[in-house]
Amino acid sequence: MTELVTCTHLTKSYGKAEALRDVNLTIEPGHIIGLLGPNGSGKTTLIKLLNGLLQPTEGEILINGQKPGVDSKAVISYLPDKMYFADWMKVSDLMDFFADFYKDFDRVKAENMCQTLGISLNDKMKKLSKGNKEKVQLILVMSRQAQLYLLDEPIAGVDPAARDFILDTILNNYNEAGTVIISTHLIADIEKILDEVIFIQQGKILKHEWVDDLREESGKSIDGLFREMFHADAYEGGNENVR
Amino acid sequence: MLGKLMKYDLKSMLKTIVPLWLTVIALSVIFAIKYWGGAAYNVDMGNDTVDLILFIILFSVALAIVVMNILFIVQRFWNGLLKEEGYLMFTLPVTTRSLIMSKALSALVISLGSLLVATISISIFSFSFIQGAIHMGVFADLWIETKNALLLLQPSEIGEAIVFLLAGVTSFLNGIYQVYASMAIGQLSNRNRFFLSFIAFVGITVVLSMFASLTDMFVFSNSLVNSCISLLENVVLLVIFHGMTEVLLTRKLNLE
Repeated sequence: MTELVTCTHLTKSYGKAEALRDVNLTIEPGHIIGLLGPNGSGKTTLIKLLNGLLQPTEGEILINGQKPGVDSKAVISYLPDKMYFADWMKVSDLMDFFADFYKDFDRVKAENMCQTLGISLNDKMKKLSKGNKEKVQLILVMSRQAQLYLLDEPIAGVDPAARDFILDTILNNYNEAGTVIISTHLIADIEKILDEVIFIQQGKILKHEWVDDLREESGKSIDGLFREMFHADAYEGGNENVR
Repeated sequence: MLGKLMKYDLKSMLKTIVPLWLTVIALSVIFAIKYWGGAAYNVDMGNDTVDLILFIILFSVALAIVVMNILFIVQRFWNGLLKEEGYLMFTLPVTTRSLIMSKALSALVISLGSLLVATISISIFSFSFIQGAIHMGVFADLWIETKNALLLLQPSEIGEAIVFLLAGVTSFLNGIYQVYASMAIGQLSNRNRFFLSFIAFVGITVVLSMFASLTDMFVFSNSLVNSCISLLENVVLLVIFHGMTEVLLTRKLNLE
């Protein structure tokens, strides 16, 4: 199968702190992958490198055989862990914006999803509640038929009902020919939807395996395995120097 | 894609500045009718307090436009690229060059719009003033003389005017790009982004002043040559500022 993502000896440093160390990784299309690690393990850095927001210190990333750039950005749908809207925009402006820049954006689908949630297209973004803003952002990202979805901590800091909505939205809308990478440290809620997991700690990939194989080998759930593996980090609170 | 980016940049700025533009023009008309028109035709159009209030409002709105213009140049780049919005903008399938150029050209368009509004506003005053003056038989000759002088312009003088105009526009763009380059340097800091931007701006200004004092030694008697040199300097500086900004935002982007 053709590789969607290839990382070769990928290293990223912020000054003297190494956020990623010699990462070698291959990701194929058509899977839902959990990028799992404690806070500060390098998950966000890896995602930012994949979508071109950061440049590697050493090594190389290839998306569909090409370095991150205009072409890769056209096939990556990215959900950051913060709101990225301009205050002046209405929901309809955002729909226009996505339709203008992304050929794979399904506007009808996005508008229907907003309507179902009672979010009017004429609503100003700055007047929406935090929860609704997050939902609009997720709807926009998941209304694309992307080849690679990069979802950075999509369920962090939300209530259980919102978590269900987020996971349902992801599952019901992603392009099945593409790959979804979900970074999180909240494993229990997300475990059921994952095909593969990547465990990352202090910038190094510890494991990259099929979820079923891992469960069978260890006799534990992924959540149980994660707790066991990162027990020490939970007390240390992660490395402050690494994003 | 540059056109699409500019569409959204302009939309965001126009939403705020168009009401101010319209207010200035409307106030100019009211003020012109009330003050100049009345004075010219010796008609008592009201009391001085109302005139003063109108003038203060007009002056305040004009000042607000200037301030908004400067704010737009800084804010649309700072908020639009270097803060949270940057996560959206830098993951669009467009080049960093297009993102920067969109901000700069949009700021230029808005500034030219403000200049146009100022010209219209002044014209409204002047027109009513001249109407009054003609009525009184005062500035009539001056008006005719100005018109004749414009008609007698030689082609070389028109060329000189165009070079001078281009030098002005590129000089203004340089100002915008100097702010952008300073902010691109400032964003490198994790803790004092704004302070570092300010220091970078001051540093660049000092270097430019030193450079200007050197180039001022080569002033030619021909004003066309001077304008051409000035245009060339501006273009070189533009390329340097843009290059600096683009390299920093491509290789060293440090979003909050």
